[in-house]
Amino acid sequence: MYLTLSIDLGGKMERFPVIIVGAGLAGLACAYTLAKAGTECLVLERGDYAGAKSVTGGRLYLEPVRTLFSDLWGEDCPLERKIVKEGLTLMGKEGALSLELAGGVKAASYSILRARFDRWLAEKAEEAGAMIMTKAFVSCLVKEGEKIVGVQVGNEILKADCVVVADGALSLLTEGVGLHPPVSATNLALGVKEVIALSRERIEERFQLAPGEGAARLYVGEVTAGNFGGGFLYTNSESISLGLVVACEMHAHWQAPAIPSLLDRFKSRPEVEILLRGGETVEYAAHLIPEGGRKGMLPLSAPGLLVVGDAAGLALNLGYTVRGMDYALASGYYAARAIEEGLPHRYPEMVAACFIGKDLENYRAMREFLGQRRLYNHYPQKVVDFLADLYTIPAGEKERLFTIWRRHFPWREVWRVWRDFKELRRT
Amino acid sequence: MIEEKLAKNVFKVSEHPHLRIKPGFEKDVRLRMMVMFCPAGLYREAEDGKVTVSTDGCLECGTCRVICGTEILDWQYPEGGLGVQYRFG
Repeated sequence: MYLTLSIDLGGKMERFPVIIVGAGLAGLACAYTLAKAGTECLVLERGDYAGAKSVTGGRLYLEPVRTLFSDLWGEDCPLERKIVKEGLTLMGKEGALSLELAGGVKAASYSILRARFDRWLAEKAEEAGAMIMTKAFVSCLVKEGEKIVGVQVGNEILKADCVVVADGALSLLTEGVGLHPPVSATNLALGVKEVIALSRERIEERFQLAPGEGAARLYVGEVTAGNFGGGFLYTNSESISLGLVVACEMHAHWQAPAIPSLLDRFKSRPEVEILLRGGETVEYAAHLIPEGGRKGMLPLSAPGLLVVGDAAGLALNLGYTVRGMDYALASGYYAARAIEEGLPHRYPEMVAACFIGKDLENYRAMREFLGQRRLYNHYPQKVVDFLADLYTIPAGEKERLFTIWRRHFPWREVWRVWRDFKELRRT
Repeated sequence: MIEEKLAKNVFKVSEHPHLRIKPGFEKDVRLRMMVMFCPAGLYREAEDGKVTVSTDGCLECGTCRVICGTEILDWQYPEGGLGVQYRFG
């Protein structure tokens, strides 16, 4: 017996061509693309509104997806700031080395806040004709034989010709139907973030930015107490997103302060504190991030089912860039295209053939490289110590440069550097 | 303090806790790890070594489910419209 959500949906339909679970970027991109092409679809979102459960660091790399949604990026698109400064800080116990690339990056990227961005994208999808139902929690997928034929919401079953799962990094729906075993801690990272309100003027003054321009900074080393992960800072229009990412596999031999204290320690570092001064925390968020790269990719389809975005493990961390949202948007787009063409089973091929599949393949060795502990607990401190000695003029005689170099980088250390970094040749 | 930070968030509290430690596993080493790893600081270890969890303030990241697994935890997302509602995200 199938009941329809007659009140909520105005008794429109008992069976949908497409049901999309999750109104994040991947789900909404799929809904928007389908609706534009005239395919009816229903998006089910467990939050109060689209974006209520979404979190980013975060920055959206726009170029890879610009042409897939060519009419989306108008004046009303809630991009926070165009990132024109890229920073990397190697953080020692005391002292930090910061590098900043100002300008020169040829492709545009923007800081965004997801509650705002996803809500806007949901409006766009609705305008195009998609149906979005919020506060609707899908507890499981419904199977008939080997085929996924619908979803369960409360006591009701909604049937669909095709179900698109976009329920995020911890996709219990795909796990629930045995599409994959529970995602391993090796392929996930925990991200925590504070949004810190600060006026436009202060942000632009502190980061030396023109109006509308933004800065991004990544931190590595002591920021995670030497654990695999890093810190990040993004400037939004009137706030700063500051947070940490720690690989979930680090839990097994965790020697550092508890995660909330680690974030507080990061905030109180002198080089960070001065950027945040006078700001007020307005939200504290946490989310899982797929970090397995190529190896972390999950099955993209099953009969009657397509999986998009984080739920499919589509994300790529290169250490200096962290991507997931552009992959989410693009995978949602390709899922929609495959459905429109009546060939949903072609979706995995489309993903493999587009920039997502190519990037993940080209950088498949990156996850292993980044998993080396010395990148976090050794090199940042090493570089900071070496430079601190160079810049120290003591009372009396100054050491010879070569003496300082050999103290910090004896032959065995140089050999280790070679060994640790040679894996990069494969990327 | 973590409580002050969580107080900035919008939560819609559910009557049914969406996560629960399965009886008999309260002293499991994986739960002890969550005392350090839970971003909302919701896992506490008592003097007798038993770990308890509160769901008030849960950010629904799912880290504990990934680390502890379903053998130890009953973990499900909260019902529709409940739990944390990010205003910035």
